[in-house]
Order: sequence, then C-alpha cells, then structure tokens
Amino acid sequence: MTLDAALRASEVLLALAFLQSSAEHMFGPLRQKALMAPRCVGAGLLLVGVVPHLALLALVLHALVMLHRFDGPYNGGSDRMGLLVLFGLTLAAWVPAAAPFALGYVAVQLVLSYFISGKVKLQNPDWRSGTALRDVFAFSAYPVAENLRALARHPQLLRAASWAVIALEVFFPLALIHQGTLFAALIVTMLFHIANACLFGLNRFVWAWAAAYPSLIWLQGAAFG
Amino acid sequence: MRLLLLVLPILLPAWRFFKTVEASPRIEWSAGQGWQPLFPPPVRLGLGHMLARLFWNPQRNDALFMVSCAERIDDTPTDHSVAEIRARVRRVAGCTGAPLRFRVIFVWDQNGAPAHEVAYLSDPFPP
Repeated sequence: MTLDAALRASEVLLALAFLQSSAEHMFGPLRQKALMAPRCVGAGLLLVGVVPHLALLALVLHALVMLHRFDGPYNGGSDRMGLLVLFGLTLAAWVPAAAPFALGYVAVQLVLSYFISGKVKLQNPDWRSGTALRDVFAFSAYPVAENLRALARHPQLLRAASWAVIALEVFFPLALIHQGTLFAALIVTMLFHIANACLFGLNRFVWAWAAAYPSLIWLQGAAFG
Repeated sequence: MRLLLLVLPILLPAWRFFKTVEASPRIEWSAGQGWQPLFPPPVRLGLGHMLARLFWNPQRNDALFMVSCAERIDDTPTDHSVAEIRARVRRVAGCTGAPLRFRVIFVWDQNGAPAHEVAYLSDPFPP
C-alpha cells in the first residue's frame, strides 16, 4: 500500500468512525445536536474527499472543543485512538514532508496499543488465572446484559479466553514480519474488537481501530516489503 | 494549560486496558423513595441486537460515559462530572416534583459474593 493510498483509506475509515459516533449524539438533547452537527459536516467532507485539508483542521478544532466540553474523551480509549489518527492525518495533510512520520507514529501506537495491553495482563496473576476476566463478567459495569454475568461461572473457559487475549496482544508485533501474517492478525484483532463490542458495548473501538489499520499496512510494506 | 493536559494523553497514550479489574462503579438515583439504577443493562440481549449495536449504540455509550464520570468523582469530585450525572438523572426521572439525588456505589467481589460501598452521595437537586 502506498503512502497516499494509506492516508486516503485512513481518512475514509476515520470519517465513517466520526459519522457513526456523531450520529448517535444527533438524536440526543438539542445542545448535543448543536455540538455534533459541525463534526458531521467535517466528517462528511472528509469522506467524499472535498477540501480534506480544511475538513481535517476543522475536525481537530472541534475535537479540542469536545475535549473541553466533556472534560476529557467522551469514550475513553476509542476516542483517544480516533483523535490520534485525526492528529496524524492532519499533520500529514498540512505538512506533506512529515506524512511518513505522522502515519508511522500512528502505526507504532497501534502496535503498542495491543502489545502494552497484553504485557500488563501477562504481568497480572489475576489475568493469567482467568480471575480478572471472571471479575469483569461477575461485577463490572461492562457486560451489555445481565445474563452475560453467567459466564463468570465458567472458570476454565475464561482462563482459556484470558490466555487467548494475552497471546493475541503480546505476539501482535510479530505479525509485521510478513504481509500475509499482518492481514491475518488484523482480521483476528478486528474479530476481537467486534466481540468486545457485542459483549461489552464497546462499538466505537471497532471503528477507531479500523481507521488506524491502513497506517500499519503501509508501514509493514515500507519496512519489510 | 488545561487543554494541553487533555491532549497529551492522546498524543502519548498509555494503552493499559484492563490492567487490573478493580471495584466497579454504579450510579443510582432517588426521588425520595428508594434507589434506582441509572441506565441499567437489559436482562437479555440477542446476538442480532449485539451486532446492530456496532452501528447504533447511543444509550450504551452514554452509560459508559457515566461510568467515566463516576470514576472521575471517585478520583477527584468535579463540578463537571456531577453536572453530567445530574443532567441524566433529570432526564430519566422526568417531572417527579420531588428533589432528586444520586449516589455512586462501588461493587467488588468479596470471597465470591458481591460487596458494595457508597463512594459519593450528591446533595438534593431540583428535578
């Protein structure tokens, strides 16, 4: 994937991510609609590729307003990844000489998002035993329905699931050695995000992380292709 | 300066998702007669609904924002987090006429049984 193709693919996916999240606010109170309407316009322009430089800059300014309005990210990690991609794309658009650095930085952060998450779980005995995942289902605020709490009564399943998540996240950087392994890893991680969306309602992670994937496909090709 | 502090964690993220699973917050509200959960999850959710929520999930995302506000209140109570929760309680409670309150409770596992503790109790506020 060329640098230009990766930048454009990332722009389209980020625009879809922003449109999805903004649309959810458009059916809320009037003040939320007023806050999100400019974001919809900016994301729409970015999606169709009309004045993308200005659309990206407007989305950055709007993101700063949102951070102030919600006293931080509205949706934690998913907003962080979405904004990281936005900042990278905006730098690439306005300073073309910095585009490889900007996209490379997003790609490195994407790898770190998996590797660090896996490393901290691997270091935690509760994750290695499956207890942490049991606690997530048993009493955390995350399960999307009460009946999912019954999964806490399957310790063997949760232990296996814990190790599967740890292995996926810790070994993710190794996927960079070949384009085929990277595509396979990205399919598996996307399924992982979709599972998290189904079980814990974290749907915005799916869209935000997908927007960062082109940067990694480009970096893998540039570094190992 | 405040904005810089909000932007820095985005440019230099920590990515420590679920490093530990600690006591988990719930928000409950009251109009004077008992406490009710704010945004309780449904008892059951089919796979079709779960997949549909990939595209449309506003209530759940707002509930997750409320979890963030509850955690912020536990760390350092701010007017912002309190106001955000009050606004949702007002919307859910409707026209009760009675003053409203909310509380943040933390739930954790204690030898296989759920234990909880009230971490914050709001002052009464008008509906």
